[in-house]
Amino acid sequence: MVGVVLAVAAKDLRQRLRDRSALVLAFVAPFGLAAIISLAFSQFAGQAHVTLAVTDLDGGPRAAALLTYLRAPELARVVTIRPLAENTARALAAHDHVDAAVVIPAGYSAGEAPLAVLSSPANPVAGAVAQALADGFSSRSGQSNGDVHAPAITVESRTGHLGGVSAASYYGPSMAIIFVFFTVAFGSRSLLGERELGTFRRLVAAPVRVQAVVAGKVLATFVLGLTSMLVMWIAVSRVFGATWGGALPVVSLCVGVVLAAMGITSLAAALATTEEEADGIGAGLTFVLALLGGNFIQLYLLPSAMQRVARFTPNGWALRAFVDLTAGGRARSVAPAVAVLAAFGLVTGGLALRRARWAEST
Amino acid sequence: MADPALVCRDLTKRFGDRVAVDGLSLEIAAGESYGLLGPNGAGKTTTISLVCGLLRPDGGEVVVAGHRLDGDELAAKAAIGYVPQEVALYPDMTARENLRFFGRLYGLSGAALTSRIAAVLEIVGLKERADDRISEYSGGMKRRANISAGLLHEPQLLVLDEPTVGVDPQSRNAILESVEHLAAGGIAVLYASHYMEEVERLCGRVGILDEGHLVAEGSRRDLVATVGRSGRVELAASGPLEALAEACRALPTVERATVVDERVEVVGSDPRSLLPRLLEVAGCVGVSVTSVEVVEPDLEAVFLHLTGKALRD
Ligand SMILES: Nc1ncnc2c1ncn2[C@@H]1O[C@H](COP(=O)(O)OP(=O)(O)O)[C@@H](O)[C@H]1O
Ligand SMILES: [Mg+2]
Repeated sequence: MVGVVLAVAAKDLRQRLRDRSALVLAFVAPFGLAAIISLAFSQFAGQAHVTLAVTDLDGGPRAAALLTYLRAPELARVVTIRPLAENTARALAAHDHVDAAVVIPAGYSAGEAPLAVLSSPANPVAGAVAQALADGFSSRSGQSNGDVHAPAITVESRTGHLGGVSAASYYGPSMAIIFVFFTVAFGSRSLLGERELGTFRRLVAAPVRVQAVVAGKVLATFVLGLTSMLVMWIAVSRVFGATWGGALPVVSLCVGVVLAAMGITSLAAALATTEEEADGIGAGLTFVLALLGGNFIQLYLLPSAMQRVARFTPNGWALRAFVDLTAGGRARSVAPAVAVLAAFGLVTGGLALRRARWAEST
Repeated sequence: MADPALVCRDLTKRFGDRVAVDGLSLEIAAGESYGLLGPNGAGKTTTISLVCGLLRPDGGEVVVAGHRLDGDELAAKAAIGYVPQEVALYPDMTARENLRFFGRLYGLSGAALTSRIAAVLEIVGLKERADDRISEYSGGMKRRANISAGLLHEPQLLVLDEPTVGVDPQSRNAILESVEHLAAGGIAVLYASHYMEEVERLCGRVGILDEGHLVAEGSRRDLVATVGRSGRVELAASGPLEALAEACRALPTVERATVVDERVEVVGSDPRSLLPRLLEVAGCVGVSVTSVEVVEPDLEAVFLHLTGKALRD
């Protein structure tokens, strides 16, 4: 029995690993999409916080007033000020270690030289914030500072339960969740595939229990799904420096997500008669759940009614738990989400097993 | 005395209100080759599916090598080597990988599995191509690989469902030879086909299947005897053909003589010994014969005789 389970699992994994489209869906696509979306969203979603390097070459009273202005407590949520030497500030800004830099030139207090704002083209929002701040100070103190004509921008810091998460920290798990649905769907509908291929007849004619064959497929699907999520976790934290949280809660959440995805895609397969049909039903369900669950638009940007709807999707549960973790939530706080996700998986998977056509293998 | 390789008792299978297999009973002795001959739609695949446990019968039972399929299912299945009608292998895996996987399902592993894989590849002549993916095989090679997967565990009963359909003559011959070889080695064979020549060549005993019924069963000779020993001589000729037919009817062993187009068809027992007398008569009535064909009775004739239909359409 165990031998058969392992044989089927090994065979299925080998087939998946040979299938380029399966590999792309499992490992490449979620990473790429997470990168693109978090870049696109970082401008208004997570990264409202700007680290500003300030170099004071003047040392006069106006310079001191500017520094006081920038350090005002109302701005503390939006900007962090790092006083630095000029060339260091330039170098850091050039390498994106700070988001932008403000240089107070010698003679600024005397009105002899304008403020210089250094911004990186990679981070136009931070540049605009710095310019707006400089502009605001200058217009208040009634002195033009030359080349700065940026419109005043109000920067709103989004706070609250779900706030304060960087885009990469949100869209990493989010894309991993969507794509794990596609990854496990390959396994969930593979019995249909074997039926179409005719190999199902051999499996049934062999002296093995069909349960062992199913268990082997479940095992292979689980391993691939979990690997895909964990690889995504490691890649996102390495490349974007985005943390998801501690290993134990992250792995538990990933297990929960994989189980839920397996159950739901198996149900899609059980409702279908061909692999293609299963693919269609599965993809439809995946997108609906992703839309409702907040995979595309961050949950806390959605109206509260939508946030409540998200509570009925495994995606919503998983995302909330990931966000909690990233925001420093305790490891134990993911337990309810893991339980709900596993329950989603077991219920839908159980329905799928009951619905599947086992006996008549032709 | 060994258990029979296969016993089917009163097997019945319905699909909706169509009865695909209707009260079929047959027995295959250990080591015997049995041919299931019938046209498309006769119920061969359905019968085989019932035997291999792929379908549940609506009535009757199957016993494989002493194991009841409905009861001792795994033992019964383990005794069968099944070769499906369609190639049932993973195209993205090599022949060797496929065999390794299916071998493990039959409880083989380690050195035993490796040596059985080598042995079956040898039997079907695919040793050289064992590490190519199935998707790269020709149709005939796929068919041979399909057979090899049914041989791995040295089954007591090999069940083949139309293994030569859509295969080039060379591969077909290779397939028939390997089945002959296996049968000679003592394995029992259930061979389903609508090709009379294959069944005649391979099988000691033949069951003729039509619309789910076994309409006749026996050795080729027994079956041919049921149509009588009559055969047919066809004379393509010119001249007074009606006169020739008339004269032929007077001969003692001739049952029937008719003119069809430019030919005279003469049906009678022992057609070969009839031939010289027919040519003599033709000379007498002034008919010049341009060609002669003697058609000995065969299973095709038996099928026609029993069902009034041709085996192939
Ligand atoms: N799964 C099925 N559902 C409905 N009818 C079927 C099914 N399988 C076979 N049949 C019908 O049963 C009859 C026997 O089919 P089959 O056993 O495949 O014949 P053969 O193998 O001799 O060509 C045919 O009339 C076929 O249409
Ligand atoms: Mg058939």
